[in-house]
Amino acid sequence: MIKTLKHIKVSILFVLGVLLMACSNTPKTVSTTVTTERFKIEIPRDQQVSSNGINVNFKEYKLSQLESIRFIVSGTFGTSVLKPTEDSGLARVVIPSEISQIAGQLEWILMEHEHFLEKGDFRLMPTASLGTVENYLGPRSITASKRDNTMLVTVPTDSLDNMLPDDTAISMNHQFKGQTVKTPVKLKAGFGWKRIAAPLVTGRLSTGSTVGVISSKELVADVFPDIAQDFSINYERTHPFADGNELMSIKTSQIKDAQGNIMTDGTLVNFFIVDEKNNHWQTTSSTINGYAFAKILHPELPCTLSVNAVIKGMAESPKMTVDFKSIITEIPKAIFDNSTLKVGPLTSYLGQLVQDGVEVELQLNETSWILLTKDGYVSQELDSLKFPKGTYSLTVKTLGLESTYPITID
Amino acid sequence: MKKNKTLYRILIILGFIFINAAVVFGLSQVYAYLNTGADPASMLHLDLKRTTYYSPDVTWVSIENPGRPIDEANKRKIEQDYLDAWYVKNQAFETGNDQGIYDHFTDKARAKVRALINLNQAEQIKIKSTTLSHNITLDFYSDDGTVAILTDRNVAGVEKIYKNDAFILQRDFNNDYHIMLLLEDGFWRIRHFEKLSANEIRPSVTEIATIETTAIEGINYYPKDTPWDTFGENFDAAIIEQDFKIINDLKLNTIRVFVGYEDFGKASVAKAKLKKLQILLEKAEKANLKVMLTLFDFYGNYDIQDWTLTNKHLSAVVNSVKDYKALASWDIKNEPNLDFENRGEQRVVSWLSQTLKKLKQLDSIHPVTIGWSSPETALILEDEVDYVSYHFYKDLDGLSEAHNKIKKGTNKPIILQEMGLSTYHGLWNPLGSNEDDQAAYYAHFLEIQKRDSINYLSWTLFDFGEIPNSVAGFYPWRKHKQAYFGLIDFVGAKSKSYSIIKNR
Repeated sequence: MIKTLKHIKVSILFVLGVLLMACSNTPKTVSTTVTTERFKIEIPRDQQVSSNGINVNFKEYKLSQLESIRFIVSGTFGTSVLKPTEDSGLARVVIPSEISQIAGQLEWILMEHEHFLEKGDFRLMPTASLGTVENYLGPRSITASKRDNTMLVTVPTDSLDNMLPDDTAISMNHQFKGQTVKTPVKLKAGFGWKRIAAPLVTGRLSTGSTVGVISSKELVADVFPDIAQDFSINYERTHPFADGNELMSIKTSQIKDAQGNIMTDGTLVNFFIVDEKNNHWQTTSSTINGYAFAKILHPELPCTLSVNAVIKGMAESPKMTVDFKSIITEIPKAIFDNSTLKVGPLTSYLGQLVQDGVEVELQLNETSWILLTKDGYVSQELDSLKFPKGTYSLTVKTLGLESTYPITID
Repeated sequence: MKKNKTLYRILIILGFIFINAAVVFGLSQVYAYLNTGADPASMLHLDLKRTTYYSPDVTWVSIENPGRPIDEANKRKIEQDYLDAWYVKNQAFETGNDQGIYDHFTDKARAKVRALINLNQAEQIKIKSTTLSHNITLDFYSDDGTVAILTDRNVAGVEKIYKNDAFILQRDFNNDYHIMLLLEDGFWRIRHFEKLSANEIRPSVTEIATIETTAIEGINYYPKDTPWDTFGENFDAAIIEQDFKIINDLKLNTIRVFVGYEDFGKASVAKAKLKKLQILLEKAEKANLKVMLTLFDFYGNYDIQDWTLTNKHLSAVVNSVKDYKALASWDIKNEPNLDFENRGEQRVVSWLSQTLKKLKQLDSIHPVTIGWSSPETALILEDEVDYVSYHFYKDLDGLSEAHNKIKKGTNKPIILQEMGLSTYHGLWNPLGSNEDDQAAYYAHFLEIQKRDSINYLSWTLFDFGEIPNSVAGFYPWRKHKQAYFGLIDFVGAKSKSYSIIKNR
């Protein structure tokens, strides 16, 4: 029994709480006054936009109740609510310049408090005074080919930045290498456009438009050469010997597109070089005035190189072969003197000493060394403990030659 | 004495535990605070994920143009930026804050929008506005893809005009616009904008869809274990089939089912949810039951900026089930009048009205109603609904009078969409009704129902275990009351009311 009593107490408390909450929100009443006075405006007609606002006069009104009148206007960008004003006994609504200078259909509603009185709409048209001519040109870089073109779009506006009406005459002009083309175009939906076919010669194309006495800015498009045609390569060198010292230069012919336009400076040309042992090399060069040059070092060993040049994805040259001859016919016999093994002098094609740093491989029985020449010679000191007196087999390899013979160490 | 000692011990130990817990909690709070801050990933300036905030119906009437043929990706980008321009402009006119105007209008156009916003700000004018449909024609797309010229016809929308925070007028509009967009900094910005014409608003032809009101006798339905979550994780076609057999046993012919707005995925409705709804409708057809589908459950925003989203939701749901035979009628919203206080009556009613219009466009066959929570509010929008619905949980003695009062106010059919009595009596309501009271309530109700031939759906088939907070709030006395409205209790025992309804 006590338990249930407790429960009841708790419940009552809750009920009281809920009641308190419920009572805290008193309903609000809204009262509106209705007047019977008539208000009528002079219906605005279609007219030009104006930066000074537009006056809408009342035909019927009662000044004392002007406060209750609202004039709702909805133009292109949005809606606003205007209040009528009194000017020396005359009532009018002034549509402010924020709305009156924007072309488009303007809807209006006349209300008295919440009561609808009249509504309508009229058109605001662009003014006759011209403002600017905006041009848009693109693409701004085109290729000298029949496939490509650029496009000029012209959007003239009146002095209040509204688009001009249909059929306004404009002239869309372009000039290339002294030749001027003027195209008369009539505006449609506020804009005019024309396609300009790409000239077949590289250069710079300028464009501009005029409407009456107003002109646009100049916009230019660059005409670049079309894709390269296949080209040839040749080489220049001071001698045909594989001395590992001199530079050979490979040169392309002047690279042009199908119309004979010279490739833009900086076009990358890759040179691929292969020898008969299938070793690959590669070098890159960029064109100047359509030519590309690459320098490669003469090999040390006699060989035949095969070279071709490629502009990736566009053009390539045929393969060219270059032969290199050996600079010596025979390796001088080795001398063993004062515990040092010495080979030389190695001489080149004119009998001159080979340059320092030519690779020479010596093999004494199972031991081998790779040495570099200095003043035409290579030398190797031998450890008498490792190489006791006796006769050994010596192999000398250099510049593509090889000779083996016995040598006595004493 | 000894007893006191034990008591002190217990108090000291408890105090010790409590102090320790407090210290640990304090330290954890400090640690958590030190770990808050910018997400390190924000350094990367990744693209923000786009959410759906504005999605009016957009139809591309034509993309044929003398310039460059447009591809799908660019078309979508233009559409998105163009709609965003509308969105930021609508927002700016509502809030007076020109955020976003910079991104969507070029220099000169920006100045025009700002001038009008400033004018309205100075005069304390606020415009809440949205567009609901666009029909875009691509007039021109330049070869380099940086100039696009559109004509957008029959831009249908609504605006509500306020001055000094007082509502003045709500008006529909239907305008044609001419738009020139430029691609600047990766945004399609409006350069020129011109209202070509203001079209007449044709009053939507509201043919009244007829409902077969020959004795609607039904029940509000949730599965026993998943109340307010019919189409959730635990959706089971077998359970639904079984429940429908029970409803058949009760000799009822209609059920009322709820589609949650968030549950179904808001503007982008989840296919899986629709599939479950379709299964339910198939099962209902097999059981020879008609379904009254209540939409937008747990939706509570109603703001004009939300309308395009609710319309998207509506289209998805309606289009996916309108051809099902079991579908009897639509109920746009359950008890929307309960939101009058929080959201304002005007805001709620204008949402209902526009949603109703949209629903009529999508499905002109099935009748539409609104599930008002009281007979007093039942006649709101009476001229727009196809039949009038209300709920009645008060003393049955007032039912007849309330019902007849509505009858006088309308020629349309009337349905008592919810009625019932909770059998909860316990801690939170010791004086509550019991099973016998409920049985007497139903017996009394059926008497009135027969006399006044009232179409009704009772609340509800089952007693429920868990009531979500979102349904009856946090307070346990409300939750407990809500749990005991069923004709069948937790364990599955049929109450006395069950047999009264069955043998009516």
